[in-house]
Amino acid sequence: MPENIQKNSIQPKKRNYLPDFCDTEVFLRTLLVIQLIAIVFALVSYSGGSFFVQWALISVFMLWTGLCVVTILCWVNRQGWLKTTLSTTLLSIGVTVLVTILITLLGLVLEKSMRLSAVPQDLNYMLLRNTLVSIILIGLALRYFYLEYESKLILEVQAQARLQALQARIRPHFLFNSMNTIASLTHDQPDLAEQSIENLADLFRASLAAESSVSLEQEVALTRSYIELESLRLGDRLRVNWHIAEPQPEVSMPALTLQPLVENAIYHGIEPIHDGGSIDIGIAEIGDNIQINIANPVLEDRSLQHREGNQMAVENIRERLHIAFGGAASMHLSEANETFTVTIILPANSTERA
Amino acid sequence: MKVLIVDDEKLARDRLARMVNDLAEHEVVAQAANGQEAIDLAVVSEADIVLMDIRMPGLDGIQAARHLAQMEHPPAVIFTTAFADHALEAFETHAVDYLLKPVKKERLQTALAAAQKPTRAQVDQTNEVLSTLESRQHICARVRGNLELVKIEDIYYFQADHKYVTVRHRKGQMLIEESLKSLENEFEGIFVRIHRNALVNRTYIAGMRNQDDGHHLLIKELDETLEISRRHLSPIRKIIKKL
Repeated sequence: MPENIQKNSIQPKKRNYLPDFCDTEVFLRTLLVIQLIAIVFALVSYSGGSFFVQWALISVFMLWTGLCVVTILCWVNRQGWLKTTLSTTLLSIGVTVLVTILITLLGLVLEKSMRLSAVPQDLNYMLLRNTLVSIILIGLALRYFYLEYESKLILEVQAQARLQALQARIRPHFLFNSMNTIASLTHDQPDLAEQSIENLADLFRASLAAESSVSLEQEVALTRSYIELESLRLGDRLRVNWHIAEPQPEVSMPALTLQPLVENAIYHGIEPIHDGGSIDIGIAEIGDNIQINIANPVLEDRSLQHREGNQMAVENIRERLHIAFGGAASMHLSEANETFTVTIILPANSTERA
Repeated sequence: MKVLIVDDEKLARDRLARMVNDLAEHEVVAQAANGQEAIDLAVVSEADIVLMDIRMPGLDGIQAARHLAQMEHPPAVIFTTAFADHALEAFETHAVDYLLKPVKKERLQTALAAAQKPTRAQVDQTNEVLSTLESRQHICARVRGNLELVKIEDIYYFQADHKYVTVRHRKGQMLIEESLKSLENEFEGIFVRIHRNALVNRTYIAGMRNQDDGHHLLIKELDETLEISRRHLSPIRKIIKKL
């Protein structure tokens, strides 16, 4: 585990939050929305005269601006210049302002030469007004795109989490070894066999459950069921020391946060060692935070290292903590004195966002 | 037949032992909790069949089976595993039998019935299949009645002398009964031939010295030198140049 999971950090998503403007459907929809806004503007500013002429003027102006902005953003995006949220936002606003100014100037020139309006327009006033309107509109649009993008992302991560939790639970060796243990117990210790089946059922139920949030108490109980199963299998080799603060802190957290980490600790820290070792699980309230530590021994001889790691699980827990608590929760992995420790910090008093 | 059961989980061993003992014609003579114990007990118990778990701490089942294959009269090995992983693909195409846990009684019965003490040729073939899965990480030998495992990276050199090969390693030396040729094939890239009778671990090559009686290889951490034969001189020179 140490080597396998220590490298990870949350990678910024490569994709920026803008929709793909090069896509015909997105392009047409954007134009439709612009047209609707043009109608709103025409209605609001209508004060007699021909409504259609006013609407047409505003519509032509806005459509040209919109068309240019969308086309430019499509092109810029293709160049791969929109990597971060900040650059995407600034570039979008910049492009919009520039296009607005150019189209406004062009419009004034055309207007003059064609004498469309009786009253000469004030250049500075026009520029200022149009720029302001376009900044507000692009601001609203960007905010909308961002929220839409974020909610899509959260859905994706949650779906992935459920899938991974299921797959992690059905880590085939664990499942079949547990079945084998139960088969063995059925003969001599039927009570213990019964209890093991109940524990296994708890684990499967938690993995398949729809709710994504549980109390710390529930998560600890699930972890204990899991440890009971593993203790039967590993015997004296597995020793677990719980250090839970009294009274036990109360906090709600994403389901299957603690249990998979303990599973990792056993898989990498106990199973490969002939004499086994101790796993220390600490839960403490420190200031406004709840700190959870899971520590396992590190194998001295790396050549006997247990096969593949479970980086997916760790990465997924990190993402789910991020969704639930934003920046207020964190997770660290560290190795010192032949001990590998995972530390999770949760805010004690905040409720989850999701 | 005498059966040795190898599994790191006690309850798994218990179940298999009970099932084997229920079959009249077989008898469990020993149980081991890891690969090293398995090698030890296979000799002591004179087992005919070994039921070997694959995933175990320390020396795993496949490595242990490879060591068993070096015995003079190796037992038949039947692997047991909880889940069909990559190892089983190799077994399916060859004559190595395996059982999936939890093992079914009928399946165990047929596997045991089919298992005979393999011939040397069968053992060598099995060993070859296993070597495609994992090359050995240790060399093992019996030293004063105890089984000793030495990591490959701790071995300075192998030197052949009549029937035996001397393994010179960081904690001393021991004798094994393998051929230098097969060691050379298995550890190609790690060990290099310097003489008809010697293979040297590349990482311990310190340099060479030209004496009256020929060229000698200097070995890191050791005062001893080894003779380099004329045939192997030029490749050894190249290796030393790159140091």
